[in-house]
Amino acid sequence: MSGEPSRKKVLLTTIFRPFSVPDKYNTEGAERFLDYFSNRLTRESGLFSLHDNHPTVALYVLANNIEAHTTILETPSLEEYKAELEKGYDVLGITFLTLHFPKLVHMIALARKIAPQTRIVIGGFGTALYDLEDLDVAGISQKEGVSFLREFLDEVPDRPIEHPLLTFDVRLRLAVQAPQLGAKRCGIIVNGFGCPHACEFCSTSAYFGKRHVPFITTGDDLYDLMVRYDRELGVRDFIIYEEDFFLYRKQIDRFIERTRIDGAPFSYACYSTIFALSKYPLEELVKSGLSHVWIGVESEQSPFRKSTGRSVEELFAELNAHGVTTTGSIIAGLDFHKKDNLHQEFEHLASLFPSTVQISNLIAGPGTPLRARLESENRLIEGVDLKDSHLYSDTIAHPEFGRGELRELIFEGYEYIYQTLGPGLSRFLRTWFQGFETLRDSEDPRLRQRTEILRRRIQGVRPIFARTTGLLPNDGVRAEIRAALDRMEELLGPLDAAQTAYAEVVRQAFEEETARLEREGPHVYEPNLRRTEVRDGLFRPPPQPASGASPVVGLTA
Amino acid sequence: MQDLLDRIVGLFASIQKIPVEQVDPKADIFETYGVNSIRAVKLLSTLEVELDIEFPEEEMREIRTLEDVRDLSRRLLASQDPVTKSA
Repeated sequence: MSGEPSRKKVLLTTIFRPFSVPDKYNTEGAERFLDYFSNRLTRESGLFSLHDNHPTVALYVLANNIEAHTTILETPSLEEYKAELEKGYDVLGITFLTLHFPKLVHMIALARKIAPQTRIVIGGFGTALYDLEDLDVAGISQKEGVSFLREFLDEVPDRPIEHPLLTFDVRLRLAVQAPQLGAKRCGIIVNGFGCPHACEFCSTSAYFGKRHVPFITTGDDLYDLMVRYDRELGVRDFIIYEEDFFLYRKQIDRFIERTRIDGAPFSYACYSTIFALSKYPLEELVKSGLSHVWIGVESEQSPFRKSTGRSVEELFAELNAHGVTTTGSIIAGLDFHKKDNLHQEFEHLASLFPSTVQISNLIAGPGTPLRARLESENRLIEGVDLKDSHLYSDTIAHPEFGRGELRELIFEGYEYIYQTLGPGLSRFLRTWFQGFETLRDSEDPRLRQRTEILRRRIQGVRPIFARTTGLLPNDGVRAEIRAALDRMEELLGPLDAAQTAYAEVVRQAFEEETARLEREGPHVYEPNLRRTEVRDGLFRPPPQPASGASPVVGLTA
Repeated sequence: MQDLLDRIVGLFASIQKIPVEQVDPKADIFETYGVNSIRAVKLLSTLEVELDIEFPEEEMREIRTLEDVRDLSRRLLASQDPVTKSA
């Protein structure tokens, strides 16, 4: 073991593209699995669907915390991957998901031929698969990856971890082709891994041994990281990765205190549970910058501990009233589901007015208690194609549903939500406006500060709907959104010149895309190669233009 | 084409960590040697890289023996453009 810089050369890579070509590596539409929004949260929203360009966070965290010189490849083609291997690396690390396993094996075979001296390690959630030792690789990271890689490279394993500054942009899906529509930049914060709730189905919890593994340990460190993002990149909006962010009371209490003392206008999105959210007065969280929260509702009759506490209906209503947008996720195929009560689940989810939703199939991931139970009940479907292992996969035999039936019902559920509530982006807008109406007369200056942020967001997104309501799914949704727009005009005034111009840009882009769709069909969003070199264990994001010609309105506020 | 079968048998033996002499190319690799899906994918992926061929998915599913692997590989090699093949 040596504390001296190893200066080894490390290549960290994702699996290879393409993703959009149905073949032995990809199912139809597999490229959508790279995008939270168009595959999950706003998958049904047509031209109003959102899109993000998320980096492969783990690779940057690793590169930022080892002494070796590191090259990161994201979504290389096979040719790009081969060319990189030929440059000669001491270590190759490949991260993968279960559905990408066949690609992983091919990449390993290529590495052994092109660079036989390179030692191969693998990581990512795909490593929960069984029998991976049969791949004969030099290392399999099945725990927190930084300490694993440091040990593998003979570096000091327990020196402090430095969080890299990483950003991504959220935009209309259409804005990938039409960058003039703008985008919203967000900073990424990894607060911790694993979850002690240990729900039966939870792969993350099983992966980390039902334990919480903190990455950022104190409220001060969390707040100071936000300050760093603001100072170095001008980013004040964040997504915080942590399975149940509000569960860790000591850290959260201090974080809330810092936001009160320092008062910076940060906003953050996070994941939490009814259980943890029930422990706090919501206004305190709003004042600390809570702007979006993903809650695993799972079911109207959720049997899980994390769902105990306040009533879910009351909680969502209060979040909406404070302008906090939400993702509500449910699972189809729980033991008590039947055809009739599954639709009731969709209706219940819609009644919460979540800004976005996820409806997934029950998955029994490797290592989970659910898998052990279903195995003993002989309910695991054998011979499931690994490349078809994802949120909507049929991997469990259910007495009430035939093979493939749940998948179809899930897509019907998404469609039901869209037809009932309208596109996710319109729900964001309406929730922000609801919060604006609730909080604008507050006597608390920090709540009024939140109101100002909500006002900016409303003013940015209003124009997107100003001339496009004809494209909404039905008369009911159209009427509700028009009524909301009218009310916004009453309170905030008519669109100004910049908003009006932007509304016209959006209308034109939607019109052109509608015509193009008729001619050519859906656009395929195949990612490009992202290649990043990290020297001396210090990643700094390259200067990036603010998402094309960023307008003053749109998804930018 | 005995060389090709020898290569396949040798590769299979190294993946299974058994002596080459114990490998029966006519045996069902799943039933006789307890090959799991990972080892099967590893064998075929390695051959793809070594021989510069691509096994079609449907035909991969039909493979039961190493002779099946040899026959499929031979067919794919024969169907390749000779110029490409020699490159």
